[in-house]
Amino acid sequence: MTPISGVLPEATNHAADIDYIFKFMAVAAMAIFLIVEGFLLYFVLKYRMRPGDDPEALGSNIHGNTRLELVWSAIPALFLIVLSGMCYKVYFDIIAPHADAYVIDVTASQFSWTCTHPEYNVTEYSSCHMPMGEQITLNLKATDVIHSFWVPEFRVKQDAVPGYPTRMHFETTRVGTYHLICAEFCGVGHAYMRANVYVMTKSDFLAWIKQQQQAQAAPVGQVSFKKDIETLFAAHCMACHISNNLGGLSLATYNGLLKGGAIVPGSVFKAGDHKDSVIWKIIQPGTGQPGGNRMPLGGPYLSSHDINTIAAWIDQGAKNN
Amino acid sequence: MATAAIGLGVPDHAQSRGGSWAWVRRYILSTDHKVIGLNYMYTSIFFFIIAGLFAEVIRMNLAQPGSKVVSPDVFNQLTTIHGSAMIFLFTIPMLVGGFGNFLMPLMIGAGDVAFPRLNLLSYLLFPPAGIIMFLGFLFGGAAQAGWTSYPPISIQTPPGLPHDYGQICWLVSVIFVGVSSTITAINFLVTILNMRTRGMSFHRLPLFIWAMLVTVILTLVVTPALAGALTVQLLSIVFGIPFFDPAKGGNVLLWQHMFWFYSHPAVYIMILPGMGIISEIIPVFSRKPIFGYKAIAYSSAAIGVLAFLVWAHHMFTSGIQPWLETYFMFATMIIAVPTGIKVFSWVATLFEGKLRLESPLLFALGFVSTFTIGGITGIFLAAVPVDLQEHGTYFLVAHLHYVLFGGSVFAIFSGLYMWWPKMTGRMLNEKLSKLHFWLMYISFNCTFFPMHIIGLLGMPRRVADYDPQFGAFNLFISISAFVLGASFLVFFYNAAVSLARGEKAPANPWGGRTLEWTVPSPPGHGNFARVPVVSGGPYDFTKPAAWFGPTPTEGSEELT
Amino acid sequence: MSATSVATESAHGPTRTNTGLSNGLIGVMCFLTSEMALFGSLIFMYLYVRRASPSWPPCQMTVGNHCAAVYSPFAWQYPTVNTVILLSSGVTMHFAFQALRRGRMRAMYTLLIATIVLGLAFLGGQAYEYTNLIHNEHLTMAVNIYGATFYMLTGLHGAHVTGGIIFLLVLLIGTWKGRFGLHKPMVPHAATLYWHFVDAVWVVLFALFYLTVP
Repeated sequence: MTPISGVLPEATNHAADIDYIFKFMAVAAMAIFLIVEGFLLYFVLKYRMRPGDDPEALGSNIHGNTRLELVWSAIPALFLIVLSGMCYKVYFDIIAPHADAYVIDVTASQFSWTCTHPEYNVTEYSSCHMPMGEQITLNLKATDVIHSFWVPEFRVKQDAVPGYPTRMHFETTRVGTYHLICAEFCGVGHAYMRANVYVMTKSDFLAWIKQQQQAQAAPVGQVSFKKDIETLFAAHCMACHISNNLGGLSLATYNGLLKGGAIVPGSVFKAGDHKDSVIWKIIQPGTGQPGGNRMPLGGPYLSSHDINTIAAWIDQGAKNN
Repeated sequence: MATAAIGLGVPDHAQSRGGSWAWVRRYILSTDHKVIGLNYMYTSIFFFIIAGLFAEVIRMNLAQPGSKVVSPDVFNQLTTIHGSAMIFLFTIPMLVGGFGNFLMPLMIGAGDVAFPRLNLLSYLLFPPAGIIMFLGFLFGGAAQAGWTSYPPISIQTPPGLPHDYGQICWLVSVIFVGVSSTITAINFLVTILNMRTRGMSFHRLPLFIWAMLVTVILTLVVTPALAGALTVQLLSIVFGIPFFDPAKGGNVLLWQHMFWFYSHPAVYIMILPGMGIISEIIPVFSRKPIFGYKAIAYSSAAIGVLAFLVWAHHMFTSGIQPWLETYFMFATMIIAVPTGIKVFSWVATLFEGKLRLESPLLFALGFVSTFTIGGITGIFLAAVPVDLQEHGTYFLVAHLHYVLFGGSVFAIFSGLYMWWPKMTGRMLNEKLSKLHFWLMYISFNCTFFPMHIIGLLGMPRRVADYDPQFGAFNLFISISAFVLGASFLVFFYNAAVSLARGEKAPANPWGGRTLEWTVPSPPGHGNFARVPVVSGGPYDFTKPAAWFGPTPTEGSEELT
Repeated sequence: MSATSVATESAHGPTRTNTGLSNGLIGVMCFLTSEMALFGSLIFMYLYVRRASPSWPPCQMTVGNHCAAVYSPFAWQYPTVNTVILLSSGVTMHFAFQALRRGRMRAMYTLLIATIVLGLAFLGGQAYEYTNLIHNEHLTMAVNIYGATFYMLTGLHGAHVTGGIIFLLVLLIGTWKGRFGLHKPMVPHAATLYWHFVDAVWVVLFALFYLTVP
């Protein structure tokens, strides 16, 4: 059996422990499988009736064998006790918090992930950067329904439950890019609720943090409709509102923005006032969006930088520039 | 009293009253446990076909990454109803309502169940309950939160709909099915405790009856607990009562505890009767007693007790307290022991047997081989550190299908092939039966074994789409699933030909020693012309099954 | 009677059963077990949310991030009276059944009617308690888990009392018409067991909601 670690690298300190237990179990499973299926097949082949056998013949009148039954009850029981002991130890290692861990607040909502770094006041959308070689604590929060934080290379998983904060503790042991997958059914966008996890060396991580802090502080300059806004629309709204005109709304042209849609008619912006503009309100998190649903429908949602860009364009007059 | 009967119709008191409604009185409103049992089977198989077709659409959508055979919300409805219908509208009614009703009174030597009219009521609740589950499709969409129906997603109104009618239909449907099950459980428990024939002590009961006994005790105690949970969820949706709303003091994890307290014992309700069927078939087709009768009987009881104590192993990643996680891990590991005892005993029964490799035995052996795999992967999932990787992935989908399909469905078909002559009075075509077995067994393993691998490699469950790297596996799985679906066509053709012009069945085509084989195929109303008296166990092939007590004017006679 | 069935439906008089108890009696005990399971799961629900809640009674009003006011505990004085009423009906029911078994029908009717009247009084008492809570404490089912669990459990219990009263009325009329009685004690026995069950559930609920909240 190919070790999983050959195909799916181990990226946390827990992964090695978990893979070890998995391999231990796999060996035992293979043994049980071969014994049970082997005897089954052997008996079927050896004791089957063949043409010419006496049709009235009976099998041996065996009712049981107490010693054999005790043995085949005791051995699995012993194996399971040993296994439980191994699991017990590893489980308590997995859930043990570390006082000096690097904290990341993870928020799960339908259908995107948000990672906030409280130490540096940096927030990232649909991605999660982590330093390598450090103890990490993730504080998991869900805003709407149950989600589950799963990075297969990390080998651990934890549900994010509304109203009930949960935590994960691990040490990153391998640089790389991994997929964060939602592992608890959360609605129509469940299959698409993904993010990239970037585990970087400490120095790379700090450099990235610095870059984020500068970008978030920097004001949004002059925004161009053709260069900035249309690019955003193409990236995030193409499938529904450029190829398909769903909801009667087309974002393919500036006139389409003026016309609006069938569900929310009228111009999508109010020039000079982003807070009163449909297009700005409809991409906000939470509830109460015009039409009843946050856009893009089902996520992934726009980053705060992109939202600010749209807001800035509206405040600058929402011109066709 | 005449016990001859013709074909499927069972002569009934109602038969003497003619008229155009005689058919309804005789076949739908009969209180005869055999008619009711067959009705459960027809209705269950109907829902099995629909739920199976849903599975084929699911596999069509998953055959390739990025395909949009159905939209994501319809996909979620299909997965939800597939699971719910297979569990509540097929497996449980088929095993308990179908096989339980038909066989149990016969096997204990009774004329019917303790409360025949209540039995009819139980059945009559079932088809409407099933239809209600599907009604959601007519009201904007069926339930789409998975068969586990976790809040908050299950109480969230789906986008675009004014109310979640589908979820309301689902909740009402399952409540109805639960009421039906509970009434049946009371009926069967009283019957088994009180109506066993002379000489039928507990240690002479067929193992199917031991299995049914534990099953109905489980049903009696946990189904009302589910009803409580379902009612509370229904109130949450219809009236906005904040049981699961953290903003008003409610608790999201509450549902999971209440739901799994029922649903874990439910999986034993779904497998124990199947195991009972296997325990009946292997001795008959090996021509020797079951190995370890007491061990199998007592392990069923042990599983019944332990079933109540392990529910939160479905919640290892949900954030429950560490001491609870370790307790549930230990308890779940323990439950593997009595299960393993059964598997070893079945295999040991084959030793020095005279094995007749006919279709009932083939399906029984198929069950043992696939259920063993399912049981093994269950241990993987019980180990908490490993479960943290496997929960919510296709590894779990593989495990559950190995135990529910490889287990319950194989056992159901094993039982159908075994008792078909007794229930219908006809024989099936053995060549077609074997063809069905091989097609089903091979395609089943091809469909579900690869799921273990993609689960471990990173494919979550309940997804309408997936990463391209899993494309080849999923295509192979989907193709195998179509072959699996097609294998049932062989069964239906075989069944139709048998019913139309199959060879007439003798009373005891397989040489069984349980009491149902001492009466004609099919049995008449009232089952036994004279009280059967049992003087030994049900797997002693050196002796006849029973001798019969005196009729009012005759002496007793042995059965040859 | 056909020799094919060892114990037919209980209405046909005594038949041989393996346990010595009639089918109907075991059936009623099974039914009450399922009812215990139903109430059990909802009591579990109450205990679970109570333990998981930061305080009990829970928070009524939050200001910012912390709790400004909690709900007050339910006053136990008035419901104690109601409990005594219900338990008294259990006593009258017990003696009504005893009277039936001794053939003392006049005493049976008196005690049975007393049971029904006391049961109705209990329901009236519950209606008063609900009205008080809704108008004075503004506690409804939808406003908070505190109300949701209270009304769910006591409401389900009240529905069972109502069903029980209907059952007793059927028993009363049926006995008067000769359908049940000394010669057919199964249904009266079932009704007695059911009524005691309803009493027992109330004792548990009364203790949980009124006596164990400081």
